[in-house]
Amino acid sequence: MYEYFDRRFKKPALSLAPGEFYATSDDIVIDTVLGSCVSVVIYDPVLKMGGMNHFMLAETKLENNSQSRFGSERYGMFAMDALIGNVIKYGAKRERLKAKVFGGSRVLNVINTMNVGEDNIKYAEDYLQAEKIPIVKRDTGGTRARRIYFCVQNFRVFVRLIKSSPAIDKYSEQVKKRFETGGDAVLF
Amino acid sequence: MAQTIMVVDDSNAIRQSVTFILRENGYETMDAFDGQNGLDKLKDHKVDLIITDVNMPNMDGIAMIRELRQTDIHKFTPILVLTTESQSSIMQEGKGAGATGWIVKPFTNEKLIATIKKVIG
Repeated sequence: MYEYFDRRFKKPALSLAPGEFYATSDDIVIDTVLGSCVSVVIYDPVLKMGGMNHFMLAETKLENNSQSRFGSERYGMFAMDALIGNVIKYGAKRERLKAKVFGGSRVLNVINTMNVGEDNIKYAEDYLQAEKIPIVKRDTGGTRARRIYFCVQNFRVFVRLIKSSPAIDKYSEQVKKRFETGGDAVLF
Repeated sequence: MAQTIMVVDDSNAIRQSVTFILRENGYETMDAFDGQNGLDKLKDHKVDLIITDVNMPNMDGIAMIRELRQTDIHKFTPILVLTTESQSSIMQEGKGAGATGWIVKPFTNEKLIATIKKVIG
């Protein structure tokens, strides 16, 4: 995650890397680059605040066992939970939340032949449906990568289609390791 | 007799995943969708352990812990906080409210179960 000043929007901006999320009520732009990864934007229209995440499911998905349910999906589950939890921390009301979903393209040169993008889109949409958060806009699928810009104060999201690169879809080793080992546990 | 664990989290996905893992490991479970709902369900119900999120609507996890510690029935019930929050100031707030331990999401099944076993055997 790094901060910069976006000259086009004339606002402070923050760029998300894979595995990251950010929620705020500040008048900023949050941006990220998506290949087969998915970003969900969550917004409370009354408080005019929201946030965005950037996630991808694990590459392998097994059917009908616990590894499938809580292994590969862990990436998406925690990304969604962290985002919604932080928006609520800022005072947003669950029943007012609205969502937009982006990414999940079938980019060339991906690491394997599975359609990771479709899995990511489906996971995000299923999660939001289960949490009863309406999706008011989606720009998903296709074969091009995207750079998206979320203007927090008005919930507008601008999408720019960009040339794809395999690097776009690579989770950093640090992020992977974090999910494999889990967070810290402390007993008081 | 199986031990009973109450899971309090506003995320359906997290609630389902945690209760699934607990049941697979031989625990009985109850669940609640926020702090107030947890408080209501625990009012007359003794459990062996409570696992709670922090950021939830209506009543957050730390406020729920404070309320539970005022009751005779849950004065000494172990309470683990399971949250994305990892700031030491919030952890200290949880500790001050009466939490027994703090697990930072994302969790692994193994780490979750190992921590529970440390607390309730």
